[in-house]
Amino acid sequence: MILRRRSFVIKRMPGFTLLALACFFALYMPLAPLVVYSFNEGNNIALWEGFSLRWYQAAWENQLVQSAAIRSIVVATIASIIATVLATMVALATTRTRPYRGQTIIYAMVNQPLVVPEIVTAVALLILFALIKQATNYHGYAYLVIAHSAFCIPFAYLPIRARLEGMDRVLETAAADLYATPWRAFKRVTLPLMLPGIFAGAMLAFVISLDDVVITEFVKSAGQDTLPTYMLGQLRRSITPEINAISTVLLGISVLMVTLIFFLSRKKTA
Amino acid sequence: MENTVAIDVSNVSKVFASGTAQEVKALDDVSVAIFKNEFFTLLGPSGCGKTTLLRLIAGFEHATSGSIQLDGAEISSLAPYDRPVNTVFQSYALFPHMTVAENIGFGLEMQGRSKTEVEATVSKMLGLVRMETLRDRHIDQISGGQQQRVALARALAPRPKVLLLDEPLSALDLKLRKEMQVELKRLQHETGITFVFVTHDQEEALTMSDRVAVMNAGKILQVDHPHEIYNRPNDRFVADFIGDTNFIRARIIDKGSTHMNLDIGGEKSIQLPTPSDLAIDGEITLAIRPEQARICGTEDSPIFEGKLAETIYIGTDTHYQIDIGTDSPFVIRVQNTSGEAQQLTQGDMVAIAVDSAVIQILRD
Ligand SMILES: Nc1ncnc2c1ncn2[C@@H]1O[C@H](COP(=O)(O)OP(=O)(O)OP(=O)(O)O)[C@@H](O)[C@H]1O
Ligand SMILES: [Mg+2]
Repeated sequence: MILRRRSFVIKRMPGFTLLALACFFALYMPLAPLVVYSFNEGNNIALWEGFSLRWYQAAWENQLVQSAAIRSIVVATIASIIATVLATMVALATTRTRPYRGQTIIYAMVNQPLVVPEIVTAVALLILFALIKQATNYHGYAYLVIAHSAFCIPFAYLPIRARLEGMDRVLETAAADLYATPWRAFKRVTLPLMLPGIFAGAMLAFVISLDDVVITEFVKSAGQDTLPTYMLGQLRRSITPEINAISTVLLGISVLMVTLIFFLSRKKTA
Repeated sequence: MENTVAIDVSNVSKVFASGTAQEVKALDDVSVAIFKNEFFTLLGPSGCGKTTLLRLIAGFEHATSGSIQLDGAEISSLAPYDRPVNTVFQSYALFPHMTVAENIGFGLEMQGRSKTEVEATVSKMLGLVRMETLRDRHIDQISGGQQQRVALARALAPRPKVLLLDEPLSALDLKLRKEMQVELKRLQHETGITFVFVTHDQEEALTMSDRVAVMNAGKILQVDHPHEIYNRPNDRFVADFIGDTNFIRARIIDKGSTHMNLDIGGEKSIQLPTPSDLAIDGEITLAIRPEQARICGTEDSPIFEGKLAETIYIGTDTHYQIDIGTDSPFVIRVQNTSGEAQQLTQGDMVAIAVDSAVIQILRD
């Protein structure tokens, strides 16, 4: 085919391999000292004194780290569930309906957190929640959960939508033809087939929530530190390899999640 | 065959993208009655509206106007899942997350049949399509031909009143296609379910069907038994679409009660019996199948004469192209029964005889 012969084979571009290696290096090199020094025996983050797991133990036994970690996981879990449910509904509403007016607006609105600078959202939420806090005198976790759910929606939405768009509509038609009411067709055909997308979306949302600093920093009340905001607070004082250890664990979780997402989204749609 | 009507389509039109620049009249005032236990085929070129008619019967699309009845009851307003009609999709549309058996049992399960009944019917269906050994395979672990059988079994399992098949064989290679043609006929016979089959392959339509509806541009032109469609096309499009045909434009010079004289542009006029059933005048078209004309001696009442322009030998048959003074040459097909071909050379004058009974007179 003529198209194939003409197609652009990036591997043949001169210097491509070199450039790719340079990019990898630039991306991952800064992580190396962080990870290496998390295993440092001494308490200097730039002076190697031998291998030990003492900073991991220190972090594990640190009450503040423990409660921040639990808070992070709880908020990320609840927020990613809420975001995924909402994102699934929006994805169905934007792919499984006849085209309607306002569809583009909905699409833009859902993806708004990707476009609006995070600091702007953070300030906006700070002001809004301050008003609500004043009016209700409620200072609990709900603010964090709501904020996280909101900015996680587009991250959950994108893989789910991609999955739905890759799914042949004729399967749902076939289900309807075989006496399945719309709800049962959804339950028995659409939902099982979109599940890998939903999992991928949920995990992405979880990672995004887990890593968030800016919005959390603005929205949290006193004593509501998550792991990243706790680390930020620590950095303002003295830096010990304990921070390296926590960062390495967070890095490990993110890498694991992203790998899982990759395999999930590769699963065949058929 | 007792001719009880299963599906009655009356005056159905379907307009897509109505009121826009892309407006398409996919079906234009279509009426047709499909009988019970019949193998009924919709035949026509691409884009003529075959799929649209099937989708209307299945309920995936709503007619712009007209009515569709099943066993005498109006079904136009019923949802697809409320119609006792099943479809075999061109792409099969098997559920990729289910096994062969789960796919076949899906419709029964949705109908709320008991587990034991579902099991029993699935086993019966697997037997019917000869797939017993593959019951627990996943869909991506079976071949295209096997998927085709599963799709058939899945659609037949709930015992629909009508089975709709939209070009189900078009994805198969020729050998498998022939096999499945036989298989489909057998299944239709054994189940006694009305089949509405869509194809754009005229040979497939003629060999498989009890009756054929020939469609073009959103209209049904003729509905009849295959031999009638072939021998008595009532429309130039039908005659042209099905098999090869010689078309001769003719002008009626004079018309008696028994015979009429026609001018076909050659030197002599020709004489044909006046058809009793249709009032014709002026310009008409004659349609003659190449195998229904023969080269004859002058003693055998020829109707035209012409000069042999070309002889084409194609193994089983020989085609003679004869210049009779019309725009395109008249083709005669002769079966090569004995080893030696007829001794004719280019430029010879030949006489052509045609039984006047097989000449189709088409209105313009
Ligand atoms: N959903 C739709 N929206 C707009 N136009 C459509 C739609 N479905 C079909 N059409 C048009 O209606 C006409 C008939 O289409 P249909 O699919 O019924 O043809 P067909 O006879 O099945 O053709 P083929 O043999 O290619 O499958 C075509 O012109 C097609 O472009
Ligand atoms: Mg079609």
